[in-house]
Amino acid sequence: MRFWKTFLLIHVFVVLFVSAEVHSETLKNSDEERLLLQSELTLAQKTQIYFILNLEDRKIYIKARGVVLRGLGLKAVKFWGSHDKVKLYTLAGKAAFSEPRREEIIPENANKDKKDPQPSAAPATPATPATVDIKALELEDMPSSYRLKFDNGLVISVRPDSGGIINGLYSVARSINWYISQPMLTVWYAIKNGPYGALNLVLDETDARALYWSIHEGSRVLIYNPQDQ
Amino acid sequence: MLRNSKYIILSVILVLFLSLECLGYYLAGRSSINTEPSSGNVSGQKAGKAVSNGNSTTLKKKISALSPKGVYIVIDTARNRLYLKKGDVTLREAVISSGSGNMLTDPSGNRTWVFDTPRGEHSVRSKIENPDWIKPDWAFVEEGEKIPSNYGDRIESGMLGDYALSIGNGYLIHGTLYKRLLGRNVTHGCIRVGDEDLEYVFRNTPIGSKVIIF
Repeated sequence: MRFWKTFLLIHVFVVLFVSAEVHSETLKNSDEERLLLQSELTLAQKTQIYFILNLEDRKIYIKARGVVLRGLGLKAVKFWGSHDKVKLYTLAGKAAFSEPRREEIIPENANKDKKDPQPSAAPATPATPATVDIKALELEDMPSSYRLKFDNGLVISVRPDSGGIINGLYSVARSINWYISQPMLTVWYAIKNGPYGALNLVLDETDARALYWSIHEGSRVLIYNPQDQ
Repeated sequence: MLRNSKYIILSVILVLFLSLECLGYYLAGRSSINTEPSSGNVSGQKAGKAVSNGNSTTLKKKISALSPKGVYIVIDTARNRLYLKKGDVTLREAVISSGSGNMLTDPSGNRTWVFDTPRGEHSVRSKIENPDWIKPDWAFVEEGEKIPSNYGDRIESGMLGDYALSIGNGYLIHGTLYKRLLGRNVTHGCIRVGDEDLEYVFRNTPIGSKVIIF
């Protein structure tokens, strides 16, 4: 009888402890959600396009006025440094090995295809767009591998999800480099008395290009990262 | 002796390297990247205030209230697509042409134009049937022609299709003779739409509707 009483008592304690943990976790999630929504509200009140990097959903949302304009899926995420669960950043700059450059139109040699319709121009006959050579900045001209530098010491590296043995080996090399270079950079920034954090995102190649296309200096990015390191 | 000193130097370098690595791992775990709050920081005190300011449902309602009312247009300049939407429902999807991103400089060097489609939130200011194209200065500069002083010399009819929706600052959503270039970035900033899609958008988009370009 005493055994059963003890067992029951222990059981009750365990149930209470577990439910308290669950309740505390729910409250924590609820606070995080409110913080996320409050931050988004400040962004949605403005006319600018903004970005939400939701590491829980593994998505980057391009939004305006609370409306999702486009969602970009994240194939893999790696982060370095401790972080706030919800934090608003401003993009300070983009850097890529091969950055897209604007074409300068030379008036004398202006490409007729690029001009607005002219009175003498007859309606174009149907043709495959791929066969038309256009000097313009298009999605394909955007890099798929680049770095985004933010105002508060955060650096986001974006690279495409690509298969193959060579890319696999390259990926391993990048991972090794990540774990060696990040501590060094942390020390370097600590010496400079500045904060440092890094995120490594892998996206579908087209999505990586689309992100580069859409995001620009001054863009506001809300990062939601509920995970612990 | 020399060999021993080499080993010692190598060992010291290795120990230093490993120490720095360990220090880096320690600092990364200890310090926050947000130790210096910027103006955009929503954590800390402000966040605390925000948390106490309302519950999630209220905040969701507030955000939802900011979304465009009625019909609105979303333009994806990366994929050259136009979406006519009402709430979450897409009423029409159309292939478009948007800004080329090219640059043109006036030979005098005084002015430079960048042919981007303006991103952000706009609204339909006016709707025009059978619009005339009022050629801006850059059109003459690009053709190597003299900019006319007479306003009438700028007007060209039948160039913009049957309909146009103005979104301000001279930017239009209009038709095109160059249908083969739909889906490409070829314009000077305007948004070109195919005939049928344009007519549908024109008929179903009231003046004042929001136009979101990204």
